[in-house]
Amino acid sequence: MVLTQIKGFFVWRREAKRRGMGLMEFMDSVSSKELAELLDPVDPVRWGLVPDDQVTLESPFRDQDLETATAAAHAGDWRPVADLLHRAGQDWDRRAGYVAVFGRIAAGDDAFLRDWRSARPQDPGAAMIYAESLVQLAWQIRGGRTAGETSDEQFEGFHRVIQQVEPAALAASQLAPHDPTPWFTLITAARGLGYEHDRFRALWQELIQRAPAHRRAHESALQYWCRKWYGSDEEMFAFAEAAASAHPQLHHLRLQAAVESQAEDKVIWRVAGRAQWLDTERELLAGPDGARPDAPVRRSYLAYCLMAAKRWPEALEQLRLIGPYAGGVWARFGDPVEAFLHHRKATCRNVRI
Amino acid sequence: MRVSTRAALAVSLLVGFHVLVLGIVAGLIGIELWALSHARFVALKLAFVIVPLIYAVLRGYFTISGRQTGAEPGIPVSPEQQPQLWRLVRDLAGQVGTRPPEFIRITDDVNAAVSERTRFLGLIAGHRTLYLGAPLLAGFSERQLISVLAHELGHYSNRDTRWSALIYRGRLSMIKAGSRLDDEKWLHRIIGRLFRFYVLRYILLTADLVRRQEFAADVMSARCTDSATAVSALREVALLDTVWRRFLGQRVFVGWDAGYLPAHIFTGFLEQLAEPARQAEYEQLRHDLDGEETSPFDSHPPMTARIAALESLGAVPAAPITDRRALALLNQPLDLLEYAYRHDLVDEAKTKRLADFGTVQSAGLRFQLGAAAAEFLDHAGRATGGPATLRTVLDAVDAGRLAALDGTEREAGPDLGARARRELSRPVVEGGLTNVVMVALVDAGQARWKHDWASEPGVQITGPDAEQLHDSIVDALVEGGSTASLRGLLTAAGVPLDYHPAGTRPTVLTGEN
Repeated sequence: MVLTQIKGFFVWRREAKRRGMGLMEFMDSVSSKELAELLDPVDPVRWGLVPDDQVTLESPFRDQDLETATAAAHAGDWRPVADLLHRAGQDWDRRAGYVAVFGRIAAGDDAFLRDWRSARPQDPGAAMIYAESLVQLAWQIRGGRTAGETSDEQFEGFHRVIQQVEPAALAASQLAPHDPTPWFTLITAARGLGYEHDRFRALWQELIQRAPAHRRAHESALQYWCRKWYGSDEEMFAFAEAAASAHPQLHHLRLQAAVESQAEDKVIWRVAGRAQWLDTERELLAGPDGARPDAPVRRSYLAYCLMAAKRWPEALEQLRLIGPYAGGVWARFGDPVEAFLHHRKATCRNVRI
Repeated sequence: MRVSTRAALAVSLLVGFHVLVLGIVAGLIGIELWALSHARFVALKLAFVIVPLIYAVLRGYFTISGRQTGAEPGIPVSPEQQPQLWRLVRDLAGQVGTRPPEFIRITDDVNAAVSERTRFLGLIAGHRTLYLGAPLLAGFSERQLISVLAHELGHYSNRDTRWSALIYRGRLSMIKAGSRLDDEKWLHRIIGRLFRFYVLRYILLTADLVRRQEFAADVMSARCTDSATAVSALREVALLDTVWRRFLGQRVFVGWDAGYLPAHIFTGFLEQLAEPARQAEYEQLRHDLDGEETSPFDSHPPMTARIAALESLGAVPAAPITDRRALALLNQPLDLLEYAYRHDLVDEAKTKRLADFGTVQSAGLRFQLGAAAAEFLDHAGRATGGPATLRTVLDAVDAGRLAALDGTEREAGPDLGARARRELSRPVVEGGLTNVVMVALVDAGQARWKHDWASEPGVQITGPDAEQLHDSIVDALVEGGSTASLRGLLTAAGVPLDYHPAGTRPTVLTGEN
């Protein structure tokens, strides 16, 4: 103990000097976790991981067309957005992803969308982005603070806007009756609208009639069924189970459900059947699934669950495959990059021991 | 704990308080004296601690147990001025078995109470005063008044428990005392905290006893009248409380900022109470007593429990009832109530012009709405760099500049985009624009302030179709909407688009009223 303190004194003083601070000032400015890490440094590179400073939130699957259209939307030009949606065709997952991106942009500034809708009032893509933008706008007005710190005005604004989602989504669906995207928007809005289970199930039927294995919709519905929203652990796992057994490409829903309940259920990975999920997910990602665009996100969930199950070498293997991308499960933390770096270090340290 | 044990404990806490404080002070003095006679130097040092300590203890003690001071509310009425009221009160005191009050005062609130100037935390009783709220006298029947008076006097009768009056007095003065302790210096703060702890123990210990006494006092009120009357009085208090508060806000003080007060407040209050169109609502209010929250500091049990207890008592009138208004007991009742109410108003009331209710309300609403409309327009002028007129607002709405028209100060929200700001501003602009339109219509003779006792005060549009007008405002404010139809309606009604409300300064009386 005393030795650690003496060592700490030298290590911390060196670090403080490096940052141009006094020792006390330095110790006040960093967390105890950081202080501990300085005493026991881990270099992830020695464990086959990318260097810390290369870690990024940018997805390894860059979509050049999406980037062009995003820049155009910010500049007020809707045409590239319309083309992009048109090219996505019946790749519903991709289409839903695009609608979510442009819905978020339009929730901030909808100049491009207003021009688009007045130029082409019957364009289903524009109608879908409009409906989606209302969901995002409502949550922006609600803000991320607790109910006590949120004003009445914000709550009223939230309710006023979220109420407009359903008519907007139904109008979009009329323009493109086979497209599941407006239903995907409603599945997401159901949490804000506080829909009852029966009403939600009716929406869900509409969606899966159009796209039985819609990944984003399943991930969104999993949220609806989890305990912190309108379901329970049992309902959430039942939903994930049903989806994973019907569609192998949705197997990761089990892991997402596990992460949802993990905070409360520390021993979740000691159940043999569940430990098997991790093996299955690992095998799936070793196959063709590992090359799909959602593979890094799925790997992040797998890695995180492997860590929770204390299967460190396997977690390290997934971290190597993830590379620099700090998206996926880490987005659940306040600072995803920091969370990713911290979990990488923890894994390295545990593999060494 | 048994009632009698609890009562004995409460009384000994009252007495013990004085004994304890005097004991502490005597002990401290004793230590100092002992030290003086044995080791002078130590005694000197000790004095630095002991003297301020004695001072702080005595200061806290006298704050708590001293006389209550402060101006008395309301105006006194003498037996010569109101003989019937005094006779009634004295008779009732005899029936209840306590001495009658020395003073009767008419106050401005919906309340009736008997209080005593006590000393030594209520161990020694003093003058007794009966306070009667003017709105109660206006709204009660005679028997309801008797029922409430019997209840209040009943607290001082010693029939229920031997010590009940003492405990009741002690509790009232403890509650008052608890709020009088000040905490400027740290030593006083510590001593004050100790005293407050003692007071709190007493209050919690006696909560149950006092509630029993409320039930006992209720029994007294039912005996002096009957169960049905006692229940009706409780319900009437709830009704009068609500109606009076609303009446003050909507009818009396509505013209305050504009410089007006009604000339005959209680004439209006009686008309309001008698309004046939309101009776169903009033009956509802009389029965709206459920769902009250209770705390250990409440002196009264839940109203529903009291009503149930009264009803199960089943006291019936001794003789066929002949009831009349409580006002019939008073000489020149309306003048008395009016005087009592105005007596407790701030001096500023004397600068107000006295008028009938219609005038007060028109002046008041025009002033309030005009000021709100002017503020909205002035902000719009500043925000857009244009003149502060209706036209400027309409132009800005057409340009989608809702956020600019909204002068609300909000906590900085860096994550709010332009669209979210617009969305938050939409209801604010709707309210502001509606105000401007209404005042403009009134000024153009296309709307008037309605005044009757049957409905809430407000604007009545006489020119354009009200529904159409409302729709046109909504149409103007939806995303991508237009003010065209609103402009059309206003122009047709003769409202100039360059409108800005005039006359938003209050009328102030100077000199004699």
